[in-house]
Amino acid sequence: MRPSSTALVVAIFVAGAMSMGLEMLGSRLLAPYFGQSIYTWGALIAVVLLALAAGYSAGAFASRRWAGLRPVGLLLLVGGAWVALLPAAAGPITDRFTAWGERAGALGASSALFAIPVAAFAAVGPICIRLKVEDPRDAGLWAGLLSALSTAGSVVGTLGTSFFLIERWSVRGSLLVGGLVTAAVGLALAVVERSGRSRTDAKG
Amino acid sequence: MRTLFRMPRAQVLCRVLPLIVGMSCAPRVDPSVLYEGDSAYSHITVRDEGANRCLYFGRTDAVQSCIRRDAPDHAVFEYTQLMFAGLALTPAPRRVLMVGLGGGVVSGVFARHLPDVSVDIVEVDGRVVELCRKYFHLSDRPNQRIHVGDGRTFVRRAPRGEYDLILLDAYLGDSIPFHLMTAEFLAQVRAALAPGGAVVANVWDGSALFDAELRTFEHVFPGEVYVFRGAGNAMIAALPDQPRRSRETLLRVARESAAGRALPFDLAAEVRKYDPTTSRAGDAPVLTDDRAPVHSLLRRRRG
Repeated sequence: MRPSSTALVVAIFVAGAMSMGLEMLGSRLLAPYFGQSIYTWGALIAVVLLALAAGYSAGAFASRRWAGLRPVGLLLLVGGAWVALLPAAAGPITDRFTAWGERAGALGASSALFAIPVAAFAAVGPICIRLKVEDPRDAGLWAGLLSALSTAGSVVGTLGTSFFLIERWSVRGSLLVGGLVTAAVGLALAVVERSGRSRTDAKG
Repeated sequence: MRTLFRMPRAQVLCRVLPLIVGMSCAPRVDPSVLYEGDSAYSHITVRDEGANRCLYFGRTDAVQSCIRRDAPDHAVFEYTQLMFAGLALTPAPRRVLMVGLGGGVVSGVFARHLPDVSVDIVEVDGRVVELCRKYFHLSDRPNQRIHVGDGRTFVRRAPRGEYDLILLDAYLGDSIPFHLMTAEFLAQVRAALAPGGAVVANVWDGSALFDAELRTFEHVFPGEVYVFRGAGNAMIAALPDQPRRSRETLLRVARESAAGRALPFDLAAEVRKYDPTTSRAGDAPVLTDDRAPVHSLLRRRRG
């Protein structure tokens, strides 16, 4: 059974939104420990980009073995759960890196807090592309369209947090709710495929 | 096109950029500009204006500090004197911490008139320290240590009960560092105060951010907050774990504090700006690390 396009669209969009939303919220988690200088921003952006690259690569290889909604759902589940734990865990973890100084400390804390979930969200993309491509001539088409969709999610994540959530609501509340929603979406996707597969098995 | 390729890169950029964004690489010919450049934190300009020399952060409509070139003790801006209203709360500080150097006016008063006071200065921008040394009479002395770094990191690492007076002067224009305004930060400040010590924060009182900062002070120092209101800036001060002082007591303590010292201004006149009627900031939010909407508050008028 091929996964529905709606499920893939939701997965890619949520992953894109969470990556950038996490980056914006992350700057607020780091500021009490490292300030909000150009160093802190540079470290945070570099770590997010590195994690994206690592996640894309991991997803690229994973897509050859585990092409299905279930790995996509599991990635969102792990990334979302991680983000939901950040409100409680970020303080004590960041505190350990303050001894490293402003630049190395911001790099270290960003890596410890954000690399895993961002990589998980990035790995969603290649697997979804693999699931959509039937004809090799359409590979570029789906790669382009799904990347655009992921970026559209990132725009919503960026503006939603910077224009709305951080000022009008709460950093920790945003992380908790965003993480839980993402984890729930991931769980739903994993379960959908499982029930889909069992139905197919029953028919076969 | 061929000539473009033969030029060094920087020159190519200087040819192309004006066409796109209207920028120019031509050097400024304005002789009153002594320095203009970018640090890790802001665009900084040092400029002479008549008898004054001024330091600007960001665009040159946000002045950070000015001094009179021929009279460094002359307070061009009221707040540099108003900050010393803290002496009405803690009359004989021995150890002082300044968060934010600005144009070095306040540290200059300590250096020239209160040389026995040991002063720690923490300034986030190393370029500002360099420029203050070069253009604003900041000089090194045995009783003064300058630390380049984030104020919050410094306060958190400070030993408990280290300081008799903490002066917070790091809030300016759009670049408000929210992490130096939250209840969590003020709790760290409170822990760094010695018994009988006081904190004074210089805050622009023209926006709802003032109400929120006052409310945050009231939250961390309940019943221990004093406001000294100047023309544009106000000082939010707190004296923790001490009996509440009346206006008369504040003035008496200030006079005693000024008696043995040669301050370059009338301390009692500054302390008379004590404003006991300041509205206790109704529905303004307490600022926290979790929720500090400093920019939207800055755009709102006071309630």
